[in-house]
Amino acid sequence: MGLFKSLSVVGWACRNVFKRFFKGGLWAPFLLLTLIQIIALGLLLTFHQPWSQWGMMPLLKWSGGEGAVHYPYFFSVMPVAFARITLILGILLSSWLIGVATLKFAESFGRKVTDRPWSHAFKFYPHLILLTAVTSVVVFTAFLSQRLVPSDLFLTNSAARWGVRFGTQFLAVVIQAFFIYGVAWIVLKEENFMSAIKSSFSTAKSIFLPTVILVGITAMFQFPLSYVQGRGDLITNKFQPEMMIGIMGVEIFAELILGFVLAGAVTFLFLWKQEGAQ
Amino acid sequence: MKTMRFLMLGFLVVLLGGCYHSEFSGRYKAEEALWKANREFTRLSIKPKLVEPEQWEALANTYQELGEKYKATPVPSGDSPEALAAAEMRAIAARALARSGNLRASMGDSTEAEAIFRSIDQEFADIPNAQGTGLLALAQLLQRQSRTPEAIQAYEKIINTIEPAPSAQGVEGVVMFLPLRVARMKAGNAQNKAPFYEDARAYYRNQIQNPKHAESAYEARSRLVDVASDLGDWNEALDQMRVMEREVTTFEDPPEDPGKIKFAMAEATRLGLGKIEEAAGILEELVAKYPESTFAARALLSLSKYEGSRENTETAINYLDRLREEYPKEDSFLAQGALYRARLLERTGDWAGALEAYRSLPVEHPLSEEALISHLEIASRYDRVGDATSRGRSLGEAEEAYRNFISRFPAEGLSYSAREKLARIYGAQKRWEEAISELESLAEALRGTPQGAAQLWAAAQLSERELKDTERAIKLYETAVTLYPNTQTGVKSAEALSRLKGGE
Repeated sequence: MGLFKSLSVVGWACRNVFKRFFKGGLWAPFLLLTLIQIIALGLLLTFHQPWSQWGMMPLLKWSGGEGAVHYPYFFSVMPVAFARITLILGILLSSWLIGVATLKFAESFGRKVTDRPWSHAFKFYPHLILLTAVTSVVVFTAFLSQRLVPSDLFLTNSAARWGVRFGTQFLAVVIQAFFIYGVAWIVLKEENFMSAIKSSFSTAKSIFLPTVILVGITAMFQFPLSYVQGRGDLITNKFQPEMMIGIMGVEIFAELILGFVLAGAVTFLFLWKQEGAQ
Repeated sequence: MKTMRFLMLGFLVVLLGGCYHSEFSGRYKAEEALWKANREFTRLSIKPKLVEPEQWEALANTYQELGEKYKATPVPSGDSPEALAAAEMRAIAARALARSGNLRASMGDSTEAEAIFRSIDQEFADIPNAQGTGLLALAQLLQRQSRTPEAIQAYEKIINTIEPAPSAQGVEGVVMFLPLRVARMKAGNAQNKAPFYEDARAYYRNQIQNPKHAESAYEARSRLVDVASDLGDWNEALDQMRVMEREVTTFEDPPEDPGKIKFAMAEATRLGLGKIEEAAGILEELVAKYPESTFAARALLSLSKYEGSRENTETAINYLDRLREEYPKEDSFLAQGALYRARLLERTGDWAGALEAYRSLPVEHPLSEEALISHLEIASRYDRVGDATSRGRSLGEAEEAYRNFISRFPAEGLSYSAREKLARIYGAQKRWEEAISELESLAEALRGTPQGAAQLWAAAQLSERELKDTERAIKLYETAVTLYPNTQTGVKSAEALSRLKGGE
């Protein structure tokens, strides 16, 4: 499939998702996940208070050493700690919620599988967890490849630095593209996680360019936020440390919207490829 | 079932409550409050003249309230994380109180400042570093007030309480300087200073033999050099510097440039022992051994001046050529070298070469004091040889050059120097009114500084001696007495005033 055809396919998928933007029922899993992220962020911000000290202080020290529980260095470490929370939430919770969202989108696109999407998705919870865990590990390994670049080159040469950043980001996008149909194969076709991975690879291969474009676009929107979060020291020293809270709030909101669009568009493409969606 | 759930919930609450330590929460809040107060201090310090006294007062109160709030934090015994957190809260309280005291001292309320510092000394005896912070601020305040015995007492208490850590922030980082400072304060203007330095010597020798930190021994040796220099014991100073030169290169992150030590050895040999040739030898070693050091460039310049003083002009110029070739980025030394080259050439009768060198200075090193001086040197030369026409022309060129400099670089620090030289040009051309106006304007721009005092004095002198404008001179002397009462300018101005008014 050529570039322009791929772009029009992605546009078509996204249009169909945007048409369903105001259907409240479709937002439920995403809003629940966002609520949990906000609660997690709140617990992190109040790490020193009675209700969160027991869990958040060890997490912060693990993420950034002893300095992470001191003001204002805490704000530099906060994105790292939050990313770890999000990773755990992702594996334990959003794996199931994305499954629910996939079922709801499928119903919306005319492919009803079940009357009870929440419990139906929960039936496949172990497979969904395994799929998410494997995807996370592989993506994480892709980002670890940055360490192959000599650190002095990374620090002194901005072309090398940006090249590596974009390179690993692209690699992560491609990896995610291959795994992204796994949830649909599990909850819609009721495959186990190993078969779902194989089938996902096969689906992604058949519509490789549209899938990479779709995943790439959402990653592109998130990249500036994750870059800014990585410059926590600069924000703490030059501006207000509390600005990090705003940045992370924007990121959570962006994930809500982008997650909705991505889940919907992926489900649409999956159905289009498998069964010819309406 | 309900009872089970209730019991489990209760168990969870007790478990979580048991995991809660208020010290961590308190420490975080204290850190936040101190950081925000420091941020405000930084903001106000950017343009302190624009800050109202009430704002400083409010900030001092903020620091004081912060200190009062956390100073009574109970510290559990032992080394548990909670005990350390509580101790850190108290240390924050001490820092906040010290800041409050310093602000009050800068606002002129030294009584309140002293009370705050003394309270830190008494209330934070269990946290030596915190106590030391207060003692150091107290000692510095007492020293500024010339209450020398009390200041010495405070400094000695710090020395006896705090272990020096030269690379640390705060009071630990300055402890190593204090025995020397105390020795100097005790010695004052005494003829025989040696007995007053014995305690300092003993302290530093002990630090060399029993250092707690890697840099302590080195730093102590550096202070022994200062002690020896104060006492004129140059051989001792040189011995210590030789050891320092050997030791400094053993550090992974050398605390000092070895070239700097070598240069200091040359200076001690030249100025202290009067062995100029030996000093030149040390400079040659410096250039050979530490070519990458900034002091190598400085050494080449010094060697040039040494050879120049012995009338070895060619050798002197060779050193300047080496300086130019090997250190093209050391602009400051290159400018000094260029000026010295011009003076050497002038001295040897090569005026054409000297003139070219003087004229090239503003082109090659435009933002240098030497470039500004070069115009005056040309005019002085023509004055010396009695060439009035060339002198007049060169004074005109100098005036134009200074005006251009001032208009191009008004904010540059050197513009004050350019203005002062412009005033001298006016004086050389007997344009007294313009000279005095320029000096008055410069004195106003540099108000409160020794340079401002000097310009005010010069303006008053010109008014009195050249313009014969006694009224204007009196006004200027009175301003000098008001602004600089306890300075040499103030004293001389008062004498001039009584002379002028007495004569009326």
